[in-house]
Amino acid sequence: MSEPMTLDRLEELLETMEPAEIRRDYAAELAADPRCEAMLEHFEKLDANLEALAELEPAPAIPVPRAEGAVVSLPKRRPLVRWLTFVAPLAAALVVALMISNDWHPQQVLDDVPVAAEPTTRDDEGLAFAMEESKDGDSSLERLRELPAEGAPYREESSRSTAEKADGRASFGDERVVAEAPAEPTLPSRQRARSASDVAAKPKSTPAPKPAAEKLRSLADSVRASPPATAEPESPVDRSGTRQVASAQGDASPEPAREERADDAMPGKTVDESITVTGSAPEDEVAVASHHSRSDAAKKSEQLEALADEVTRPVAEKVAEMPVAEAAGIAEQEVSDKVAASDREGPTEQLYDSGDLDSVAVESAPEYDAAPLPRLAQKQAALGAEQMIEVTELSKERRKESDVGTRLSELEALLLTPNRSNRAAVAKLGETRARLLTELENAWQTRTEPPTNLVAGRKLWWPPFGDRPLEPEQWQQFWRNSPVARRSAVWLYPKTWRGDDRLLVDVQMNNQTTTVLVVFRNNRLQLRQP
Amino acid sequence: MKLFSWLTVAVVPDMAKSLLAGSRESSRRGDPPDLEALMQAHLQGDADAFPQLMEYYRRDLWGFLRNRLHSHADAEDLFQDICLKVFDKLATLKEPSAFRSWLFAIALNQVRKFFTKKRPISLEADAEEEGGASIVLVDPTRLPSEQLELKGDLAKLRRHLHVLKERDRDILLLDVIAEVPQHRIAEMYDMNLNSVKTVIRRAKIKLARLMAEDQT
Repeated sequence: MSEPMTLDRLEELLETMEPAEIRRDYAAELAADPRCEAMLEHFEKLDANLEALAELEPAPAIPVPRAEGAVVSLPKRRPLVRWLTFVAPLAAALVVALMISNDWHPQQVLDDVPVAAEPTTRDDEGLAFAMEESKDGDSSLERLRELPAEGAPYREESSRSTAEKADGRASFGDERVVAEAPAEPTLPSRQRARSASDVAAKPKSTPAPKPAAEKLRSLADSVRASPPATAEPESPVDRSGTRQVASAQGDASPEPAREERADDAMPGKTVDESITVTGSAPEDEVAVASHHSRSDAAKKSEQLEALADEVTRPVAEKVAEMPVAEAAGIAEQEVSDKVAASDREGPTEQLYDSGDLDSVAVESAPEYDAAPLPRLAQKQAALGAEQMIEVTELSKERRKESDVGTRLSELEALLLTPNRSNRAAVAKLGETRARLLTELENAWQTRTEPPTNLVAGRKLWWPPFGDRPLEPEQWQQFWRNSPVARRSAVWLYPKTWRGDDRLLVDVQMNNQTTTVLVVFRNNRLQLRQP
Repeated sequence: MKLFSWLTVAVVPDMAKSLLAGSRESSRRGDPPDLEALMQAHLQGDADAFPQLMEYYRRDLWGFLRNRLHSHADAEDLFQDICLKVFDKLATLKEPSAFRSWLFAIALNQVRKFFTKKRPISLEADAEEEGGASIVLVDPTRLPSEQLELKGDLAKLRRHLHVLKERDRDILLLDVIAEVPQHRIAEMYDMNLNSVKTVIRRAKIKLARLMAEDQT
């Protein structure tokens, strides 16, 4: 007997043989294993069973078309999603198109929403264009320094100010602003400075009468030895001013550093003006003293003026070539020396000791006066014709060279942060103008940015008031109603004075510039059309 | 003499099978329709042409779908989808004689899409497999005992069909139930004809073994 039949062996046989052949050749083995026999039977019936499986259930009917190619409708599930996929974006695009066509901007909606005025904002708005008369001259500055502590309204802005500080821009309230502002003169101004210094070198080389100089030096030494009237810290400007006075008295050779910065002195003013301003202080003191009984101190002051004129002329020339801050220091030192020499307890002392600018009795004329003052005539007689001719020529040159708009902005960059150290320069500028600048700055500052970032170089930050220049009244109304946090940068460029209480200012924002006339009347700022 | 014996082994059985299949087809469903005429009528807008065309293949299509899918409802849905697709795409058929192959190629694609997109779990299918309740034999020519035995065999066969690999099952159903020519099946699966024949043969052997093992 051969190998017994198994299911595996039967599978192999079925792959090569037909069932009938297997039955014929392996009948005995198949009979021995009924499973193999059953498998062979199933294989033989498989085709028939599969066909029977196909006919097991009745087939459904063919879908009948109703009309013109349409088939029996079946449930469809997609239309809703397919519609939403393009209807929703289409509606959104339509809304955007309508907004663009109507020139709509989200800012308008936000502006229309009434914003509850916070106490700080309300107070600031009260300061901005309806400045109340300050009782103290420094009160506005003190307020500015306290503003960051008020916190919330300016917190956003302070972050930006910090970033700008990191860029190296000077901040308001920082003495660096005053000290560094003249340190970057433009190229033409340097050239002017060199030419002016060359011309001015001759008068400096002329020695002053020795006895008078010695007298004044002794007076100044006595004043320095005495304790200062006010216990304020000495600023860098003060130090530089003192250094300049000392060098002016002893050293006739011009210093290179001084030449570099000479052009920044008294922008918009001529040498004659500087001389006038510098020399007018004692004259003003006399005017102040005339309100009181003429004391011996006043007489002493007059005697001192005669001596001081001989010495102050080269000093004044030097002052004309210096930055305003240094000039202020020299002038202050000069005047302080004289005051100390004349009468320390006299009424003129409050001119520089008092912090209140309103109480300053001096109302010097800052604008150039072509007519020589009587004192200038006396000096002319004393110094001699030749020296005065040189001074006059120098003044003419300076007058031609001076660009009022540019130099005014330079001057204002210095004076926008008035403090005790440059108060003399403020006094030279004129109380009204100084107040205008101060109040202007205060108004901007309290409106917009934290004080640490208000002054960036020679420019001011200011919030936007629209995409197009507005009339001053509209502008004023607009930014009064605008939230502080949503205003971006606007630059102010002071141009020219129109009298002491009117200043033309270019306001630049978004590369658009408009000119407004800032009017300071009755201690209030107003914006008008120029 | 050798040539004669080779002809008798390799060629004659196929010829005989095809002749037998043709006679079986004609006996089971009647004469095949004039495909070209019905297609032209359908394309010209004759609403009755399409049902006539599909009627001849309706039972085969249903048998293929019913044994390919577990659920009766799924088979019905797919049946209608295939009919609609054929209705829409009939104009793209360039060779009317290949209509059967084309029809079951569409059916096969639809079945694959059905299993790709969703894998339904049909409670009905489970019920059918457990009790075989859905199998109803109506054959007056057979005795009740034979019908009962056949019913049992068909239930087992349907169950064992799903044990086969998917490709083998499809090829077997296309060959046996759908009666698609084997060379068309080879084209569908990108196989040669002998490979298709081998697959069909082995699938039948495996089904027979499963049936025998199940019986014992």
